[in-house]
Amino acid sequence: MKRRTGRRAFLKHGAAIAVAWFYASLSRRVEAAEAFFREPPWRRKKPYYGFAVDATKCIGCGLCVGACKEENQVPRQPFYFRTWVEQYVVRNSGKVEISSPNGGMEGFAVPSDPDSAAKSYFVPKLCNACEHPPCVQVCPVGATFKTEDGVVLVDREYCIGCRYCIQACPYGARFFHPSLKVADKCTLCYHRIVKGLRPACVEVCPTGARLFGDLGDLKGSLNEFLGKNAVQVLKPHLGTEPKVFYKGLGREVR
Amino acid sequence: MRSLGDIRHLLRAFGIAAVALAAFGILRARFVPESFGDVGHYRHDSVSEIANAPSRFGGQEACFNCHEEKAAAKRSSSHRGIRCEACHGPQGAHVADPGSPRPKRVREGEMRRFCLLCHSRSISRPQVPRQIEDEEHNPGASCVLCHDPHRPKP
Repeated sequence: MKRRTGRRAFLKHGAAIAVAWFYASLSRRVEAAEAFFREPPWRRKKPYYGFAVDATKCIGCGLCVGACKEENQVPRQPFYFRTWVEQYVVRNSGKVEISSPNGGMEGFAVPSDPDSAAKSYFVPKLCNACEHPPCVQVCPVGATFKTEDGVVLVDREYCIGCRYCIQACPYGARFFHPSLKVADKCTLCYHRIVKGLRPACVEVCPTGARLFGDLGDLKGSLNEFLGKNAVQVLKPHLGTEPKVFYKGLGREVR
Repeated sequence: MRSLGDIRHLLRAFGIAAVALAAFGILRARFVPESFGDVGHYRHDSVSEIANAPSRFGGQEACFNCHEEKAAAKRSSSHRGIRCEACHGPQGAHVADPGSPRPKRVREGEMRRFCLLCHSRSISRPQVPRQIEDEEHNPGASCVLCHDPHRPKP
């Protein structure tokens, strides 16, 4: 190779490519493509389901727990729950008591010694429908997945029962089904929501502490709630980006 | 040009690799279920299998179609935010066939215990709903003696 066409040609061609690249990036088509991928998924696909929990309204009646067990045939033994309610009692001393007797299905006892309680409230919990679900990531066979409408489901025919996903879920939403021998969890009542019905827990909640809706419907009730209230998610530091938003949690809620 | 004899060892290696690849392809085609990988790393058929699961709750709107008087009474009462199946249990079968399965109602003896699930006083509860102390408010009496559950103003 002649020396004259070496370095100079490389720099000249490189500069030409860089300038062309810059002008191409300004083009509207490339801008549109970049904007598309920066959009949150609920702007791209409709419907995209989300959920909200208003802990300031929950009265701990436990009807949601029973309704879920009925609707989804969850085993009645006291440690299998697709959704459950926790009671938090924060004492004046700073001690926090958390209880969930049978998931809250038969209600809760009145906290003992009410005068020493600074505050007390209920928190319903369920699968958090994460955008980056750790359970999906660890499944060795691809039996659990996130659907195109944002719901995380378990394929009962394909799950091998290794329990890795149950271990991986940071919210404790999954359990091992004792008779089917596969992993199970809240599906946001997928079989109901695709028909336009509400999930069973939302249907029976008497105070409106549970809300369900389409995150893509900007005028819908869910987005209205999210817009009007200060909401948070559980364990945001884990980067799972849950789509279940909570209102009224104290710092003691894990 | 070298003769084939010189690279026999390479041909052997590539031959084994080709056979292994073919075997892998055949086994994969046999064992990976159809619809796997269609949309993502999962069996896409399971989405419709899950979506077609039977439903046990009918939904409040289905109740309103027939039970208009109860719906009207409830709509203007303090219980208007409570959907029918919260107290009456899953009525999907009744909606599908109003004749046969009788709707499950809260039995008379259980009425007080059931109402107290929501209405007993507890510091963990917000102010809504109105709450009573079980021992002070007509202890032992059934709530429906004074309160109509569909229009509960006493």
